[in-house]
Amino acid sequence: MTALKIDPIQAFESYALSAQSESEIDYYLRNSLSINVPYIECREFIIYHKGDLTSLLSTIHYDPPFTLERINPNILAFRLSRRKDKESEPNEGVIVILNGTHSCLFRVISISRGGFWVNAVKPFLKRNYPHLCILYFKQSELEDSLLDYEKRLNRQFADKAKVRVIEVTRKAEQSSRSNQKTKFISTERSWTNLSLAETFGDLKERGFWFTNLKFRVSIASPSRERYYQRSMGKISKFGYFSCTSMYHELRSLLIEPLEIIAAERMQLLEGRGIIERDYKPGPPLEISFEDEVFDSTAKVRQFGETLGHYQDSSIVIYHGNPYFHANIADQRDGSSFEIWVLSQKRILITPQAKASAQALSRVITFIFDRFKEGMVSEYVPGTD
Amino acid sequence: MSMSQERISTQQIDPVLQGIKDRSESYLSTIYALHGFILAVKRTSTFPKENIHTSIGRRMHYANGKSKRDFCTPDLVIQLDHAQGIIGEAKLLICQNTEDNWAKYVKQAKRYDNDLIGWWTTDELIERTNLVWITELTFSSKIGDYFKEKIDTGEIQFDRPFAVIEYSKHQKAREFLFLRTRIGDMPGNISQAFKQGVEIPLETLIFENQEKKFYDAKPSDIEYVMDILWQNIFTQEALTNQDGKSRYDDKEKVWRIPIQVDALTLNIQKLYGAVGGENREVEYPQKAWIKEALDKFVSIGLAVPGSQGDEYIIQFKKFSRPMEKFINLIHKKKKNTQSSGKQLPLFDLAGENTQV
Repeated sequence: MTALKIDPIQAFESYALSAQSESEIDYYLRNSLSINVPYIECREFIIYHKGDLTSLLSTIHYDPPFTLERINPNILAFRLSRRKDKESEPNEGVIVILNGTHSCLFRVISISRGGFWVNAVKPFLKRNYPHLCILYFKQSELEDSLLDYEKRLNRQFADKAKVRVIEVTRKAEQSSRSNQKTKFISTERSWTNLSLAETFGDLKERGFWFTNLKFRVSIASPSRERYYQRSMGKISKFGYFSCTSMYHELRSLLIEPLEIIAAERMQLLEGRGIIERDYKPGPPLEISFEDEVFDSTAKVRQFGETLGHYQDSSIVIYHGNPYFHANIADQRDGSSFEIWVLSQKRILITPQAKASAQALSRVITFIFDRFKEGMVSEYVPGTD
Repeated sequence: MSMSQERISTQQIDPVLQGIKDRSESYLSTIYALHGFILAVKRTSTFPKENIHTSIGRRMHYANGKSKRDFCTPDLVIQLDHAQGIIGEAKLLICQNTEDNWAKYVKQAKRYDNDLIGWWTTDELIERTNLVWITELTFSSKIGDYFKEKIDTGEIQFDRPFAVIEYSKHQKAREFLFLRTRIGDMPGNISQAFKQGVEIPLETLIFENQEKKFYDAKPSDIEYVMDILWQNIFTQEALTNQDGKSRYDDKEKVWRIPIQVDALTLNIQKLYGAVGGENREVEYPQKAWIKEALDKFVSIGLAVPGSQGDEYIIQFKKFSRPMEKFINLIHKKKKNTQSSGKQLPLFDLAGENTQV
C-alpha cells in the first residue's frame, strides 16, 4: 500500500487560508511540520517593524512587479507574487507573518521552494525598507547561539542529539595577486561534515567567517548505535532561518534567544534622532573593537573607502586621515548621521536631525558585514 | 560628457573641493576649540564648577558706551566666579601678515580690553577679566611673537592680562585636542595647567559638543551650509515627508519641497547652532546665511523661489556625493557665465539646469 503523500506547500497554504488565529499556524509548525521533499523548507525571516504592521500592510503601496493579496482576515496571511518580466512566470507563494517574542519583531514564514523565497520574499522585504527591516546577527552571536542550541537539544534528547554542519558559505579578506595592499572579500561555499565546534575552529584558524550555515540534526536510536536524520536547518547572518522538521526546537532553542539579542540591539538604536528628542541630542553610539583596528592611516583610509560603497546613501567626507569624519544620509528613509574614527579601537556614530533605528541598523550591518564586526553601545567618555 | 572631459573637470574641481573641505573642517575645529577651551578651564580650575558660566557668542555692552548699539560679541565668555572672567576670540586660520594685516587682530583684541556689561552678576559687571586669543599651532608662534613685540615696545597696551593660546590636534591611540599658552598668562591655578598644555580627547568633545555645527562667525564657504541643509534636512523632508508638503515630480524626477526661510533657520539653529534672543545670547546660523545657501541652490537649479517672498521650493535629487555635485554645478555655472560674458543672475529659471 502506498502512503498518501501530502504536499507541504499546499498543506501550509491551506492552514494559512483557514486559520482562525496566529497560534494555529504556530501550533502547526511546532507540532506537525515534517518535510521530506527536496528543496522545500519552512523558511523564516526575523524582521523589525515599529508600529501597527496590520495597518501598514493594508495601506502600503506595492509597486509592480510585486502583488500582495491578503488571503485570511483573521491572520496576516498573504499571497505574494513577483513577476521578473512580462514573459516569465511569476514567483508566487504564501507568506504568513506572526508576532515575534518582542513587540517590534515579526516572523515572515513560508513553506516554499528556494526560488520563491529568494526571488519574491527577500526582494519584497528589501523593497519595503525602512517599514520592514531585515536584521543582522554577528558571527559571535550566531556561534554562541548555535553551540547553545546543540547543548540544549542534547539536554532535551538525553545527549542523543548531533548537529553536523554540512554546508558553509564563508568569506575572507584576501590580498590582490597584483597588489598585496589591495584587499578584497572573497566568498566561497564549502561542503563539510563537521561538528559546530570543529567548523567554527576551522573557520577561525583560516581567517574565514560565515554568512550562511546549513546543518543536519540527527537523533540517536535508543541503543545509540545509529543516528537518524531528523531535520535539516539553515541559519544566515541576515536574520534568516530554515528547517524541514523540529521547528519547535529551532524556534525556542535557537531563534528566540537570537530574537532577544536583536530586540535589545534595536531598542538601543531607537529614539536617537535629534528632533524626536526635542532637539536635545543623545550620546553618540559607538562600535568598539577588541583589537586596535585603526592602528594605521591605511586602515582609516580603508574604512572610508568601504563606506563609499554604502548603497542608497549620500556621503560627505570632511576628513579622511589620520582621523575620519563623514556625514552619511540614508536615501531610503531620510535619516542621517555623522561617522567619526578618533580612536584606534572605536567608531562613533552621532545621529542627526532624523535617525531611525532601521537606518542605524542598516549602516551598522553594513560596517559589520563589509568592514569588521564590533560591539554596539552608547558611548561613555573616558572608556578605552 | 566624455571620459577625458570628465577627468579634466574632476582635476579642476579637486583642489576647490579639498579647499572647501579643509576650511569646513577648520570651521568645525574652531567650534571644538571653543568647547575644548571651556572644558579645559572647567577641568583645571578650582572654582566651583556649578558657579562657572559660559557662553559661545554673547552680546556684551561697553560700560562706557553711549548707546545700546555700543556692544561687542566675543566668541567666548567664561565667568569663573563673581569677580573673575575670561573673554576669548578664536581665529584658527589667520591671513599672512603682509602690509601689517594683523593690525586688525590687535584692534579686535583691544575691543574686549574694556569694562564690559553682560556678566552673570547682579550689576552685570565683573572685577577682573583675562583676555585670550586662540589660534592654530601653525600660526601661534608668529602671532604670539607679533603681539609680544607690540606689547614689549609699548606699541599696544592691554589693561587686562592677555594670552595667546595655541590649539592643535594630535594623535596617540586617540585623537586629542591640545591647548597651551603661547604668550601671556591665564587666571589663577588655570595658568599652570595651560602653560604645560591641556589635552582633551576629541571623542569627549563630540560627546560634549551636542552636535553644534555653527558658531557666531559665518563659515567661509557657503557649500558647508548647503551640505548641512541637503544631507540633514532636505533628504529627510523629501523621503519622510512627515508634514505632507513634499511632492515627487515623476516627469522631472525631483522631489519638490517648499521651504520657509524663517522656519528653516529656526530649525537649523535648534539643531546645530543657537536660537539666541534670551539674555544676551546671539543666534546662529543667521537667517542671511541660510538665505545665501538657498539662493546658491537656486543659481545651480536645485531650488526655485516660491510664490511668497520668504519661500523657496527645493528640487531635491539623490546625489551620492552632494558636496562634489554642488561644487561641480557652481563651477559649471561660473564657467558658462564667464564664457557668455554675462553677469551671474540671482535666480535661474526652473528648467535651466537640465544637466543636474
